[in-house]
Amino acid sequence: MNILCIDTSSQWCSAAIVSAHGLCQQSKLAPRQHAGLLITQVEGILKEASLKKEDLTAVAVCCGPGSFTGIRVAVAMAQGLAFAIGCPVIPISTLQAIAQGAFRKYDTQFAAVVIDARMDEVYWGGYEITDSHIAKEVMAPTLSKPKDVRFLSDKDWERIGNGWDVHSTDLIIGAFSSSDKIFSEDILEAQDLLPLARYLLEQGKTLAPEHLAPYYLRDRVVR
Amino acid sequence: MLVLGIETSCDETGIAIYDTEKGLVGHRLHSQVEIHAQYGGVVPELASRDHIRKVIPLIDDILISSNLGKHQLDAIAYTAGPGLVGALLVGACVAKSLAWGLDIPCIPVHHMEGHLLAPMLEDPAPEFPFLALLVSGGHTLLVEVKGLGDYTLLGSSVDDAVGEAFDKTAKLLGLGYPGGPALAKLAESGDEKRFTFPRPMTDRPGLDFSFSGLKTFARNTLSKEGDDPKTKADIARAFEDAVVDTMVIKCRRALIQTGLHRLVIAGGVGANIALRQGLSDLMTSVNGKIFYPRIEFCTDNGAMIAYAGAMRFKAGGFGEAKDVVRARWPLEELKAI
Repeated sequence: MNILCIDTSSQWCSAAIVSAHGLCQQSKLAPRQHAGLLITQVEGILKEASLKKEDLTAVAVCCGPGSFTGIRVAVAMAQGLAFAIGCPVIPISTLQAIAQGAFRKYDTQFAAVVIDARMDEVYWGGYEITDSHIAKEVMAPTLSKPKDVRFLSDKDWERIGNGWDVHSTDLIIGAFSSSDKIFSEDILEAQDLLPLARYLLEQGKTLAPEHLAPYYLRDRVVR
Repeated sequence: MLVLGIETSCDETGIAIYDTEKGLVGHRLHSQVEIHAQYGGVVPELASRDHIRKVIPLIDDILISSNLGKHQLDAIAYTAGPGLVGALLVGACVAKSLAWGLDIPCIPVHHMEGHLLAPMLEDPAPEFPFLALLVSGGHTLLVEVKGLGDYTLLGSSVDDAVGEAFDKTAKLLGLGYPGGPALAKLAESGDEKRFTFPRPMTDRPGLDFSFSGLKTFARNTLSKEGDDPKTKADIARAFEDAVVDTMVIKCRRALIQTGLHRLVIAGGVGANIALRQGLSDLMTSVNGKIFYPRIEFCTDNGAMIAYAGAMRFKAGGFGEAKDVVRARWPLEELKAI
């Protein structure tokens, strides 16, 4: 099972795959350069993994929410690759992948993920790590003003994502007395898509490339 | 050789396949005009959102209906600019990943080169060299075309593009968006003698254009003469006559300056019947020939991108572009191949 994972939903451009050689990943902070960089990264990791593109089972991709252009680059790239190779795509939520990353990096069990959505709004969602080490959605992705963010009070949340930094004064932290951990730096790497992608593939939750769409969450784009 | 062309620079998703042996295999066009109409202009984010819904399904559709497999494609050409960055990126990313996945070259194409070469899809096609008048909502260019990639800019608009002037004047006349074609329709019933609009920048040498003054002239005439239907039609007529006349004067000058005998009209405004007629008469009077693409290839389309890409592919004149897409990209930066 060779799942190619790609993410360009933030300023980072990242591609990963796991092979017999272990994890092969390339990540780079590359604002506005994703479109030129991603294919080079994919080529690099496949070479490192001694895999041919025909060996790919599926392409997993962070579909959002996130930078509109960023998620479109990832979606368009995934569509083109999967269409050419003839494999399905696996759409992954950016917030869920960030929660998965927080588990990898900090062993976070309950991730209160908040990322900046600009225009004085945030994308946020709550995730819990299951026994099989998958970030499961507890609170669905939402777009709102920082002051309207409300996480369930009965969980031992850790605060994950740049939203906690950008909107620190507006986010209500009363519900977080049980834990004061904040990880506001960029955590997400393409490898964090992998556990979720494997899980979704087992569940049969794949799409034909033409049905893959960005998950914008913000639909009001004209003032 | 089969080349797939992808055009997503503005508000049309265009996909086509060009065969260097047999010509155009097929083309598909999805227009977003209804999406943007309610806003009175193209909303870039909405344009990008629509492109990504349409590109792959249109490619799939054209392959199936042309009875071709994707592995039969020899190259993929895409519009790399100029245009809306977000919109361009959708086509560029699909093109790059598809080409990589199929192990074939990916060819960045200049949108205006696509328009310049669009008449080559017709029979008879113009031979090089020729004079080209590119007229659209975003551009007004007079170009001397000596060969593939060998373009000399002779003149351009110093303010509004001609299509933009059409649309803005149409808006003044209450004709909605995009109003250019509606203005042309209204002009048919207008009295050609009632108003005379200026012919901007024709009283001095040079091949540049200016159209924003015509729009102002239309506004002033409207406020002075009233906005009854008859006056509106007469204004539309006077506006169109002034535009056509100006184009004819500049084209005549350019033909004399370059010594060329062939004129190509391309771009969305190239579909304007009065303009075609005026320039046809000009070319007849100078014993020259006029060429234009079929109406559907005047506006943005994938066929012209597939064709331009195919010509570059054949000539070996494409390399990796420095940037995947470019919002601004002067035509003259292209090199002869």
